[in-house]
Amino acid sequence: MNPVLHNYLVIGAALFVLGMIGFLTRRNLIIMFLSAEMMLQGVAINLVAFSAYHRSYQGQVFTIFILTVAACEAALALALILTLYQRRRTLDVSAWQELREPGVEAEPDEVVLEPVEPAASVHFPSLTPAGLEPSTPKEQETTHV
Amino acid sequence: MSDLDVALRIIPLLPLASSVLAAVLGPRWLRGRSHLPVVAGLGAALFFSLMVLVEAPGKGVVSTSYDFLSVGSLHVNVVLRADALTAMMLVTVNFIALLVAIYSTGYMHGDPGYPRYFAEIGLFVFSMNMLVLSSNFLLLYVFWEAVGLCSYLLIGFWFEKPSAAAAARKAFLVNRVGDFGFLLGLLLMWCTFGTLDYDAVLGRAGAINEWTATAICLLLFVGAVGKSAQFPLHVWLPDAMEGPSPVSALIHAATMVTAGVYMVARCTPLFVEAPAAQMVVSGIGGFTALFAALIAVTQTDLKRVLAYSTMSQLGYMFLSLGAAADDVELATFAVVAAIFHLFTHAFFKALLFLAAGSVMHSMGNVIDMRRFSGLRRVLPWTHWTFLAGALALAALIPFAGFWSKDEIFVAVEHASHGPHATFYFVLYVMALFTAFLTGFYTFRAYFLTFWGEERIPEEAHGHAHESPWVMVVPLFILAGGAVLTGLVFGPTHLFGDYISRTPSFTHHEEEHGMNFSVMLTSTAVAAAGIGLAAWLYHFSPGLPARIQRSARSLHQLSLNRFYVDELYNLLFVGPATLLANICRLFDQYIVDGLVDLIGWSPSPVGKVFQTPQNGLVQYYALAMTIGLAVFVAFLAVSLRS
Amino acid sequence: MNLAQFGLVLLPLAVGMVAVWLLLPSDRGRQVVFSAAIAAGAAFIVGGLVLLQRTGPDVPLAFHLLFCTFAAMAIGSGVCMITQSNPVYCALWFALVVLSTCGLFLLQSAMFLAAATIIVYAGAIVVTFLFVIMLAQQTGLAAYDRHAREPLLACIAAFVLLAVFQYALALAGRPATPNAAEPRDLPRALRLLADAQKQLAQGQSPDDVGKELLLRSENPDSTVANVLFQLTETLPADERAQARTALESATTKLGRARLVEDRKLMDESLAELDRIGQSLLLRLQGSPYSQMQVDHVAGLGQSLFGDYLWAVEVAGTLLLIATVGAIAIALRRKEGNA
Repeated sequence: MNPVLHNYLVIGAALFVLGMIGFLTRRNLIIMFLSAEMMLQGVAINLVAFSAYHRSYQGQVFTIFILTVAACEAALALALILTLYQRRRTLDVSAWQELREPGVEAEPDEVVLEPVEPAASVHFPSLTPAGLEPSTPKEQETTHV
Repeated sequence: MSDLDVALRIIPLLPLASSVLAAVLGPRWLRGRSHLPVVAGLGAALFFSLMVLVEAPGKGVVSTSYDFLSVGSLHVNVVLRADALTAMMLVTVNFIALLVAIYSTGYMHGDPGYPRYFAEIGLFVFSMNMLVLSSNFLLLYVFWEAVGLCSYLLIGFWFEKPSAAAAARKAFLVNRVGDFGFLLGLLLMWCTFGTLDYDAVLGRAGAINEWTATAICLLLFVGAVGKSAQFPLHVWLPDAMEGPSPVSALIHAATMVTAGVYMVARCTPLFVEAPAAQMVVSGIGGFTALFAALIAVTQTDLKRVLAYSTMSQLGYMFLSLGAAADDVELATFAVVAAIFHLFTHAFFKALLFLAAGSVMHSMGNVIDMRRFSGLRRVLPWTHWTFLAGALALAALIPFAGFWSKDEIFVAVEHASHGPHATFYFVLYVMALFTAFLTGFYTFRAYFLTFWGEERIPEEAHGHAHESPWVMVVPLFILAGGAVLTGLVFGPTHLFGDYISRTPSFTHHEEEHGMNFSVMLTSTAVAAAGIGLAAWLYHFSPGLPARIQRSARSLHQLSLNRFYVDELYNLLFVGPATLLANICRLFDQYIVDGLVDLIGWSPSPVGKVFQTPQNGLVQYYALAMTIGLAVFVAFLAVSLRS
Repeated sequence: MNLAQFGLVLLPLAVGMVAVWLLLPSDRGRQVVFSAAIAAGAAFIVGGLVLLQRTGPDVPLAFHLLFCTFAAMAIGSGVCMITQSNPVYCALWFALVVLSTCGLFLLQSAMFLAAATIIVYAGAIVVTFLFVIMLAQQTGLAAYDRHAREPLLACIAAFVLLAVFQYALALAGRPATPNAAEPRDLPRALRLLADAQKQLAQGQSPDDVGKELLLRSENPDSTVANVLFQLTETLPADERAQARTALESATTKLGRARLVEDRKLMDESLAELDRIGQSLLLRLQGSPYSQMQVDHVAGLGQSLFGDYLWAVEVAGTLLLIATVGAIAIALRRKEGNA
């Protein structure tokens, strides 16, 4: 087989599989969807490689359509994700397990992590009002921008 | 198509049509008038039977209907055939049936199954007519079974009563045993002759070897034993009295049970070739006559007495049918004697049963003789007609039974001088003793019922009265027959001449003059029997009880019908029930269990497939991935080349 | 490809998968992540050396270098994208993936597609994603972002899938029949042809030349025409038939020329065979397809709006429906907004 084609196909397969891993492992709905888009990229690489190999435009036309469909899909999926977010206030995909068989129990989260405290809010500098001498307590450190 | 052809076709078809009408229109529209089509049909059939009677005796009149069965070399056409024997049977059947139908309109009045009853009567008459009109053995067998079916239907008419249903089943099953033998005989006949047509088989009867003929005859006789309630297949007849009395009169006295006699008579040319079979026939007939008479002596149920009496008289007929072993000139005479007895017996037995029905009707369905007596003033007409029938049954001169039974005695006595003399002499003595017993038990029943103090059971609700005219008139007609038929047809040889014009009775009977010694002997024994009955039951009423106490074991033996039923229960019914229970359990647990298992098994399989469906999209995607991997691998491997 | 070779191919795949597994968000320490990153890098390089086939001398070095760069960027960005905890970082890495993909497109002479992809994907879609991430942002790092679900199972499944793909690719390159001609036979066959042409020019008789042609190949089956014929298998279907008919006509001409001893005819036939052989060589060596570079957009437009006009219209309708749908969902969301 033509080495160039072979290389391109390998890269396409690798991107596809990486996207698949992302889809299967990540629990954030948006990241899952982003991984799906990466899968589409892998497929696009394949198609363009074949198009070039066969010296026809069919593969590229197909890729254009994939692009179109991906755009539509992204729009709709994101709208839906936002709707889902509003229901449960979380982007976790484990929150949506109701469509399971009656006898099967829900998947629990194996690891319960403590919520990470948000980083201490950065203390932004503020301009002193003109005129008065500011009274600064001793502990407070201001950073000069 | 000549008149006779039309007549031959109408005779069976009219009762059938009337039966269908009664069945279809009866339940909703005709109801209490369901007898109308049937009585009309039977009347018309009787008319045409008389026409056939008058015109038939030339040769058999043949009229083909249609090709029923063509398999290989077996061609069965529905051909209706009437010769002298058939014509006589037709007249007997239709006449008795008509009278019974008229009687039934009174007897069955108000019964909820009225239309069904008449439909079944019509069906029965159709089957019986076709039985005697059939021209080949296969058709005979078909309608043999059909009358058995009608008997089942009519015995079990009141099917909600468990004893009636059981009796019907018993009748059918015991008949089935006989029919099986009959079927084997038919098959053997077909293997031997290649055809089942009367003319062909009976014409070539002389050509086969004696062993085959004996085998065929014995097998056919098994069928006759079943149908005509001879020992050992007699157990169904007493139980058959569960059916309505007109049914007992029609089927179990006059017509169906005589089908066996008819069949053996029809096969005379075949039996003539097998003397051993004839001896068996006589032996069983004679034995049954005595056996039944012994049982009838102690029975307390009037209808059962009459049933055993029928069995006994049928035994006489078979005794006569088989009397001509190795004595060919005697054959025609003996057979004619049997047929004559059939003819007269039809009259007086039907009469007796109808009279018993009349008694039952007014006694509120009580027929146990221990519960009523002295009815001669309450039921005058019934009394006189019953007396006429009883005299005919006891064979007192000049009543009908005397002439026919006398001819049988002559035949047997003649046979006791021929070959197998000892055998027939023993049978002759047995027959005489049975005649004595016949007179005894008949008049025992008569005296117990109609004489003595007047006792009426409370089921009669106080208003025991004579039956309506629609029931009494047939009694009168039959009583006239019981009195006159013997006299008119017997000594004048009218009957004999007529019947011997049947083509298969080729050997012309030699003239038997009046055998006075036999006549005297038979009258004497009959009178002795009557006298003994009168003495025991009329003049010294306490005597029977003392005799019973002193001969208790004998009495018990007779009362319990010689324990034949119990023996059959042990030998056949018990194991059959066990087998049926085993089959039922097998069906219930194993077969049903298997079906239930198959019904249950998808459930756990489904549960297995349920487990991966846990609602998470990613699990589904994982499954898709694995599937994709498998698919691509498979594709790659299969496209290696 | 036998088992040893295939095992060699599987090794970098396995290492890469292990690396990805280690890199996926979990509660392991940073050291593990670090070592995993190094392992990943190693897998990259080794894998690149093994998995990717060597392209022949017809492919310019620049092409090869660019290809490797973009490929490495693509896979690297992909790995980074799926292993980041912060969703915003994921989106940005994804934008990088899209850029590398565009580079790959450019190398395949798909300029319009490269531009379109950048505009639509990196421009519109990634931006939309970022918007939504901001809208659905939780303060701090959410629990569900910090821990991946079943990483091992996913990696194993992915490894299996990738191995199967690789196997299929390996199978695809094999020649149809044993002892058939392989691409490396082609230069030698072409050399034979060139020698034959030279001899003809020097004045030998066509018959001798033809015999020489036959004699100098060791295997009677691998005559020049036979080699060329078998190598047409590698052509795409529409070109294959054309090439074969040309080949047939050339070989019949060659045969006739030998018989008739026609010098000019033989010259022509040899030239034809040479031409076919050279085009095959070009094919197999995989030079960048210069023919498509010119009038690329025009050609694409012609194909798109000529052959696939109906599909274009349908795609337009699909876009419309998606727009309407998105608005409908958004409005409903607003109504149902707590």
